[in-house]
Amino acid sequence: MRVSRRAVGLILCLGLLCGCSQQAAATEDLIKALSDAHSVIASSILAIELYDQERSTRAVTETVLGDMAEQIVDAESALESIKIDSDQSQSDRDAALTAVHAGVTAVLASRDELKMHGAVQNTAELESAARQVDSVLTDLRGSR
Amino acid sequence: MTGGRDGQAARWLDAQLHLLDRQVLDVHGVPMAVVDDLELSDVPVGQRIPVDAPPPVITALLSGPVLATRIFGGRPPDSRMQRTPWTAVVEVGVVIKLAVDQDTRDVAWTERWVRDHIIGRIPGGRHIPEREPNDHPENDERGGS
Amino acid sequence: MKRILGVALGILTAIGGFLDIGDMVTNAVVGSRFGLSLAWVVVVGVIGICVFAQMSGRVAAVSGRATFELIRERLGPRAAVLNLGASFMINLMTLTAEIGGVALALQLVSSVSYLLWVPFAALAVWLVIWRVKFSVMENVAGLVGLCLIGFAVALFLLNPDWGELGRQALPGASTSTEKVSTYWFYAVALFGAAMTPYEVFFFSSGAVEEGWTTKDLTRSRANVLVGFPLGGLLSLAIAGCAAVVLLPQLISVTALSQVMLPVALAGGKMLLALIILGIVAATAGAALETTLSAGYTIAQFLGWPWGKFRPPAEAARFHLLMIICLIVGIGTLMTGVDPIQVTEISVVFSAVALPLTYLPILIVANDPEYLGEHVNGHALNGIALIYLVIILAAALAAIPLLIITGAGQ
Repeated sequence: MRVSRRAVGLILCLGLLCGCSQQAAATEDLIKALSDAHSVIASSILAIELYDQERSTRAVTETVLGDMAEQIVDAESALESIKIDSDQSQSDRDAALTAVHAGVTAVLASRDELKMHGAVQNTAELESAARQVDSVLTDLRGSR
Repeated sequence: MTGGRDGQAARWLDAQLHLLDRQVLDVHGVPMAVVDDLELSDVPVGQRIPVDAPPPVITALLSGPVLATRIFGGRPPDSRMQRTPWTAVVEVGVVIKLAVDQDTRDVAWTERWVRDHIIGRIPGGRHIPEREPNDHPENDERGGS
Repeated sequence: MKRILGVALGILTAIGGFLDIGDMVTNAVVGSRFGLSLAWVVVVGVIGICVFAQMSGRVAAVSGRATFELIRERLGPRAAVLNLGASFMINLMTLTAEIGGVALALQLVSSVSYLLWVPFAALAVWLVIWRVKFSVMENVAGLVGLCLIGFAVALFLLNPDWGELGRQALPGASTSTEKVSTYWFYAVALFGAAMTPYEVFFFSSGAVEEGWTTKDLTRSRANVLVGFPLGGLLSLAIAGCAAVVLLPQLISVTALSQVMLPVALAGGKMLLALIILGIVAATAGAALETTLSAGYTIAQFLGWPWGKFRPPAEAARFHLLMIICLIVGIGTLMTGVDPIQVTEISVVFSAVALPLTYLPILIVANDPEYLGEHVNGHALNGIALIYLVIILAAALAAIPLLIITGAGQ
């Protein structure tokens, strides 16, 4: 059966478009999860700094870190469940997962340290995770 | 619809506007029920009413489980509706005031039941609250007045 | 002298009682994501609630009848049942959110998980409804709620660039990263938070509870016209604090604890303690009001005896209903659902339900049978009709926006 070249061309274009928009949607989801992670890490850093300066109470700081821990774990799960269909998306998601996972470790560590020792030594781990997240975010936003 | 009594001037009432869905208060001014339907005398079902037949008279107010029937249609059977005789009505205004105490009427049985078996048993349930600072003595029929 | 104190008390109570968990969370979220570019919604909402509350207070004072009694009588059963069902469900959602708010605030004081505070908060709310006099309840919650002025203090202490804040508030200021649909979603949410329907049931039933008559009308007008706008300013202060501290760091508010960070930055532990006290009082007050509103709506519709001025045994079904509502609220929260999400959904649905409560009030406020000579004047009717259009627009847009934006994602 002869299939017109136009039809094939049209189908190919539609296929490409769908693939592109799916990838765009995936990128949007990645950006969303990374933005949430950034917000969480920044909040944790701010809360710990305020506590160090004795402007905040232990109860408030513990509550913030507890809430933020839940949020960033949710962001990590959201990342893991994003549908990917191309190699580009796969590598993007891997980069995002690495960055967010660093954030999860840092936030959980700070939360536990506060609970056990009543203070947090420094925010270095959090800040490094923040830099990772921000760099992946910049890359993704640039590629849009 | 209501005729004059003892030389009082008669009043026109619209059953839907002035009677149905109105709050009914008992002799103490306590809310008792809502008027869900009216019982009329001598309106035979399914028969033509002769031209010279006397007008029907309201014999009672009816209250009952009409929530579903009002939305979806139909009406509950008469045995499920509780009657308050028209002779008990003292005043028809924004609310309808009766001359009877609700403790003597079946229509208020759920309120009595909850009072006796649940609320009345919780400590403090029968405690009479202090009067509010802005209370005006003439305002003793609140909460449904 | 006594009269001046009375007036002051009314105004202060109105200010302190204006904010609830919905206002606080929505304003903080909006401030952290949109700066002050949604400030105009708060202004529109405050004017609206003033118009609304003034009418329902007048109706209650003059006719002695509260809102739901009137809805049943004037709109007939079908419309009233729809109204009742929607209002009651949203009331229940708001009640749950407020109790969650009290528990979250108590967690901020104690580090004990909010889930453990939920039953205590609900029990405390019940005890106050059971025994405390209406006016005492209102006055204490309102006056202690005034501690939320701390947000305005915090904003000043943060020494913001007022010019920049003003620029954000003007129409046409663009918010770079958020979508237009999300902007309008939060506009509707903020509107619903400012014009909470339960406020009107409560206000009108409260007028009957306290035995208002036409003599009390001027006082009610003052309370509303002075108190509510000042309360609205506090909402803007919350948004402002978030805009000044959180927005630049790209922190978006998702938990009540984050709302504390600008306050701590501005004024340290003292200001923090003051604010937390204010949050406990304001949310507890709102929890009381929503619980009572739930009781008022059903009892008034079905013709039951109601009111805190009666011994509980003489308003038995009214009190039983409120106990059941509180138990449902506890149950919902104990499933672990995020109280902040419950709050955000409840304000959106409040916007959806607004026409159902607003329209009957407007109708009755023009009915000489209930109000005699105190019916609406032409000017008020004009404003009221404009608001009817706004409210209908918000109600219609709410659910589509909720779906499109995925609840503001």
